[in-house]
Amino acid sequence: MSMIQYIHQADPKNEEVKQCWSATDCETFQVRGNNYLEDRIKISSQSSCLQLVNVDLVQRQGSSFDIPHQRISWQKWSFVQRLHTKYRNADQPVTDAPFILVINHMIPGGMNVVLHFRVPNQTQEYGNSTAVKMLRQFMSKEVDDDYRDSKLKIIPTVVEGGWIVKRGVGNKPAIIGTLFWFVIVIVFSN
Amino acid sequence: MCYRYWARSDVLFCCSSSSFGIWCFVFAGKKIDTSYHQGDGFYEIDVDIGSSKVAGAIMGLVKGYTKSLVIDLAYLLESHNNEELPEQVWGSCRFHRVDMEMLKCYPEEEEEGVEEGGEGAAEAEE
Repeated sequence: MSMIQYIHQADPKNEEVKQCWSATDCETFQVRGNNYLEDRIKISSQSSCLQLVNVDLVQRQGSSFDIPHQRISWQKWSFVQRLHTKYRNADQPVTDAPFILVINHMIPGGMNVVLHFRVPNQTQEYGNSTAVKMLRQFMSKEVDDDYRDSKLKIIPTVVEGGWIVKRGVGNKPAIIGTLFWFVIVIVFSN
Repeated sequence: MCYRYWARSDVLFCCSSSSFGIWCFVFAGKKIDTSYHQGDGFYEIDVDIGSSKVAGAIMGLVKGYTKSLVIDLAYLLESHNNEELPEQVWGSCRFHRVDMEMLKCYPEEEEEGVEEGGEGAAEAEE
């Protein structure tokens, strides 16, 4: 069993923004442009094609408290299962529920940071965009895990924080499946 | 006095001098294990940060400081040919000063027995 902390979505009216998450404007991220293969120019991304619906922080407890959960969406208390239960209780078919993309970060110390994105179907906005088509191919059985490892990319950015942390993390995209590079620069004097 | 060393293992480069110092570590960790699971009505990507010792250690450092940070995480697929360009970010999440240590403030002792029972039951179901 685990303890879930529901960090709530940020309220724009509330000035003290703390202990919460929000979906951000994706136009601040630099991605490969139309002719990147020739000119290597990066452009601002279009707005996000998936909608962020929920974020869970999970701390595992019990006998194996320091091993984070794998396959978290199969657990009864997870967001996906709760969503499906809600549909069942309302006598609606579960197939009506939106398709959810779950990204589960397993953090040492028995903690999970789980992001849930709603994938648009073909009638919705961005449903036929290139990015969503690539995502469908990414999820299909036609490709193997090595291909997926080479494709998935994450861009971490520290928006507010110490200078050292900011410089250390940077905002260069990293392909998590292939190789992980990290630079820490510690400056001190006595 | 100034000394440096290089190693081919996790820590690639380190340099320091006696009166003031700039330490520089470049880590080339092994790849982070990522597993993919197709479910009924959902798709799960498990990113095991603990699988890379270096990434895990960094995470341990950062964990204590997240309550004073605002962090953005964005996800996308890399495009390798012209048909897939331009890239578009799937979505991004901003964490506003999330205190990860706060999770430990809950009473643990009372629930311990129940928790373990629940764990066994959950595993049996799987």
